Amino acid sequence: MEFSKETRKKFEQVLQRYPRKEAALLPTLYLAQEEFGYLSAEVVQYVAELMEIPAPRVYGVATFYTMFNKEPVGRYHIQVCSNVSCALRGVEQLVEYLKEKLKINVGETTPDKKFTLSTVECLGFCDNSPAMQINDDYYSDLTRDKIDEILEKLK
Amino acid sequence: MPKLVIDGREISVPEGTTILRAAERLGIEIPHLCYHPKLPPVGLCRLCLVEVEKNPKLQASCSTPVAEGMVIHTESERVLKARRGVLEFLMLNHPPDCTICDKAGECKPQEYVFQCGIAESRFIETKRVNPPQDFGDKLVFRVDRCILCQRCVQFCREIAGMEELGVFNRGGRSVIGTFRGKPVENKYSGNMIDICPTGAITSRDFRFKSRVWNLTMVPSICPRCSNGCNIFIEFKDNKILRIRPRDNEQVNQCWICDEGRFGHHFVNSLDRLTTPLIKNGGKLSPTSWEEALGRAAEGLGRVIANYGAESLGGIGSAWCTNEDDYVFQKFLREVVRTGNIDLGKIREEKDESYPGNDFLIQPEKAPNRRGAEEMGISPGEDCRDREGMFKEAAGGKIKAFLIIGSNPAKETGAREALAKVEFLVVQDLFLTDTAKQADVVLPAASYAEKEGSFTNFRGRVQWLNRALRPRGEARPDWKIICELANRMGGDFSYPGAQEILKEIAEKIPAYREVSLEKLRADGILISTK
Ligand code: SF4
Ligand code: SF4
Ligand code: FES
Ligand code: FES
Repeated sequence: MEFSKETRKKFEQVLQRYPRKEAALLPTLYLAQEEFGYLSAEVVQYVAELMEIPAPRVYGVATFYTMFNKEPVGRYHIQVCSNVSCALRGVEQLVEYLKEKLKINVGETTPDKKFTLSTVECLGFCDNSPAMQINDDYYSDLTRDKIDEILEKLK
Repeated sequence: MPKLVIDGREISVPEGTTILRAAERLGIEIPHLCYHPKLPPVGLCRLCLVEVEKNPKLQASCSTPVAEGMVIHTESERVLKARRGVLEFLMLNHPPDCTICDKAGECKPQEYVFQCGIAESRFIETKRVNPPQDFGDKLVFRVDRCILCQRCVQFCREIAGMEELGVFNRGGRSVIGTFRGKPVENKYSGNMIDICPTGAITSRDFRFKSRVWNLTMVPSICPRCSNGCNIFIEFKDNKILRIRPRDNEQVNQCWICDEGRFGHHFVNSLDRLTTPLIKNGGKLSPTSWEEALGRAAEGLGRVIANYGAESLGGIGSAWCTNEDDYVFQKFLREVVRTGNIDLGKIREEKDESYPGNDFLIQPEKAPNRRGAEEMGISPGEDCRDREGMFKEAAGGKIKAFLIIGSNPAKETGAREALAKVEFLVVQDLFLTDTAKQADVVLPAASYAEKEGSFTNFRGRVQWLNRALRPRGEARPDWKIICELANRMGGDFSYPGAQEILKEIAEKIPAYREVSLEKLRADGILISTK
């Protein structure tokens, strides 16, 4: 297990941005997630060695943030906000709807590895809640119809 | 120095002192869980909240430095309410299993909940249950009892220098753990049993052996290496059940290594010698002290009479106390009149590749090499050292040995040499290979079964108190030597080890400052030559 040449380069650049190596841990974990899909124990070990930080500390950071996946995820990672504003605007029913539609529970991946469904903390779209994020894109003012439409477009 | 008032009492403390420390000086203990005097304050548990006048919010006393003119209340209604609240939170997921918890009786939350008088929990939800985790063969980790104070994590990082534990996940789901189930391997891990304020980390060796309040504690010195860590021997029914560190800032602070903590089982071993043995027709068999000592005195006396005093050699011990070794060499020099005296071989071990902070353990795996040498366990002028003695024994010049607390038969050449001598007396805890070759074997008391002093590698002399009755009929080495000396024309009438210590202070210049009182306190550094 090793970063590709390209990621390695990005990593070197990331290091430049911080006064201490340890400070670059979060962006490095992101790079690792991009490269390897998710942060398996092996990946955490690799990053720990690369950054010269004890592995338990790296694993602590990796597990603290929900943005890091500790399990493999599908091609599309649907992250639905479950915080207050979205909750007040009925996101719970939408999560139920997604569960029925995809036939999986929260935290699971469809058998064809296409979708993973998670709930996350506030996405910063409270003014247009309910909101969700799929990979790097955000969707707000969600309704059932809108969800149908969005998922339809994802191949 | 800022001046402040705590619970109506004025105090001045150096700049930078925390409120908690300042209160301590007034004898006020502010309840705390995550704070530990030897670890950096993390301010995690919030139990140490106090009221600082003019400050709208309660402050964590463990991490708030004092300031000029502060007026602090540690027992106000607000503080007590907050304390009860914090405890109630900390106990939310804690199982009510004090009945079977090894920490009961010395558990911090247990004590504080008792003090605060919280009888009921308002938590009606299901308690969190986490999968069990294995911390290896020294520690037992019960994740559900953990209150996430992170002392253990801090200990590994700051003291042991091997960051083997971490905090994983977030918020209510946080758990302490090892990465990928790797067992905890630092050589000081047992200290986490002491500093974990709950029963989350307990000792695999000690657990379920006794309720802690049934143990008797006696202050002593660890015999496993030459660092001389201060310990408590904790025992019940004349059996050591656990060893714990005893504070001594000069030596071990509040820590000990795992070898010292768990390596006490030899004392209670069923293989210990319990009676004197004498060889009859090539076989060792039990006998009385009277007969054994008589046989030893007669055998050694015969060799001296036939071949002269220089035909006798003595091997002293770095495992024995100064008092043992002092009497031993005095016997050889003044009664036998030989200077063929040397120290048994000491195992040396240095782990160069150890990745952690090896801050206590010394390579010398015996407690008293330095003391033994200073007591005179070294060859006199024109006399033989250990190797010389074995060479001469092999060559037939040395005819008898008196060996205490060491096992030279393991060394090349020594076994054959020992087989050749006419008479061999051995004092030991066990029937070692050397003892098996002896004509008389005398059972010796272990460090836990006698009084005396050890001198650590730095020259600090410290006192061991007797915790246990000697196993079987075993006796302290110095006592055995005295009996032997008296049977061979000497007059050794020490009532106890303390009187020998007095003589050491008189006779050995470097030890002139030693006294029982000083040794019992923090020990004393001997004057270096
Ligand atoms: S295991 Fe003990 S020391 Fe470690 S965090 Fe939990 S309660 Fe604190
Ligand atoms: S460092 Fe040496 S003296 Fe200290 S506890 Fe360990 S073995 Fe005993
Ligand atoms: S609460 Fe859902 S976006 Fe803020
Ligand atoms: S002791 Fe101060 S916050 Fe824990």
